[in-house]
Amino acid sequence: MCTRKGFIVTGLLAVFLLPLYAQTWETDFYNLENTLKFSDFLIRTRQYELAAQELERAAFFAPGEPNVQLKLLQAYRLGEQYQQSIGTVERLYMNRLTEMPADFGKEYLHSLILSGDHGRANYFIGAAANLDQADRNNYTLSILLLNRNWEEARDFAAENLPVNMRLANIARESESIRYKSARLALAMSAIVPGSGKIYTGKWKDGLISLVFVAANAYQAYRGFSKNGTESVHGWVFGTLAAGFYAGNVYGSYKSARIYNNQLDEALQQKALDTFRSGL
Amino acid sequence: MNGSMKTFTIILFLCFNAAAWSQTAEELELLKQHARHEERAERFAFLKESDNELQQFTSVLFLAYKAFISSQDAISCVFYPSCSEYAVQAIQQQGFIIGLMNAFDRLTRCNALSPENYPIHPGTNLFYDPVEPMEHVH
Repeated sequence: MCTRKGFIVTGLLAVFLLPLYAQTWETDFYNLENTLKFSDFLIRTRQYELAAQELERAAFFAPGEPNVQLKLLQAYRLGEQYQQSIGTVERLYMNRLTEMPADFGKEYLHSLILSGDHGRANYFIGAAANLDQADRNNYTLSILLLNRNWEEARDFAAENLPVNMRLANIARESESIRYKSARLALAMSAIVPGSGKIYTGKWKDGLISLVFVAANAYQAYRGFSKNGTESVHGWVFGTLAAGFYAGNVYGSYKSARIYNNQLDEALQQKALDTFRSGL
Repeated sequence: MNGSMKTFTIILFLCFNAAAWSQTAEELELLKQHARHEERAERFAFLKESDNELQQFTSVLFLAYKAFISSQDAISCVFYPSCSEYAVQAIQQQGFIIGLMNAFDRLTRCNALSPENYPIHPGTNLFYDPVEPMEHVH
């Protein structure tokens, strides 16, 4: 009885499983189509380096397929592998770099700009045959903004149309930056210790500097008034007071410069985010 | 005492003998100090970058401060690098006068009243305030 049951079960399993087994052999996960699907999934899930590896394999399968190569360049760019992207484009269009199609040219420019090679990017913008005027303007403006050349960027955005509105707005926004004068901060702290720091927005640091300088100067004054110039107490605190005073004057100058640098950095970051999100 | 008892006793003594030769607490402490020394040597490697006698003098002052004064106290500086390290680095990078002014400025900022001005250093959970690159300041 048991043997009969066993035969029946084995028979049924064979009937149902064998076709499935055959099906599994029908799917080739590594063909071009599935590789591209998988790389799309990897890009959607932000696994750009893995996507680039898949696409390198796909590009090997289909060497003359521009869509695959373009996807590979995108994966490199998104994964911040700019040098690989630049190298791949230069290998593909070795002796005719300026004649590459617009899509490839844009990827090439993106990678050049994001890798910081703005000199080559500027040259390519001027020499590329297949870029339209709007793209040339957008890339030039991006380079100006990323280099914090605000005035030049404003003039360029006003004189060269069409241009990306978001980039043009950033260029215009730069006009409203209110810098702090480092020299004024220095002068203020030289007159009233701590006031330069308060001017740069660091009022707590300013007040503490004032207290440090005033307390040490007062101690020095006490020492000198009691024992004259022979007073060790006076000299020690006098030296400290002078040190804190000079430190505060320099610190106020530095604070203004850092404040200005932070303003520039914030706008530069905005330009970079806009550039990364696509023009 | 029969033969098996003798064997057991010998084995027992041998076990104790082995324990006696394993590392003692003092030896472990010595090893720890050695490890700390290496860690410190790595952290203070910048001291070797002194260019002139004045910088070497400040480096020596710094080491003396670290060895005899700072070591007797708990960590009280709110910054990473600490104010003394910052002073030496500032003098090395910016010269004696500006570096010293920078160090005095740092001392007045060494308080926890302005956490909004500094990022947190992940390794130490202190405010991160390295010596600024000259191009940001001048």
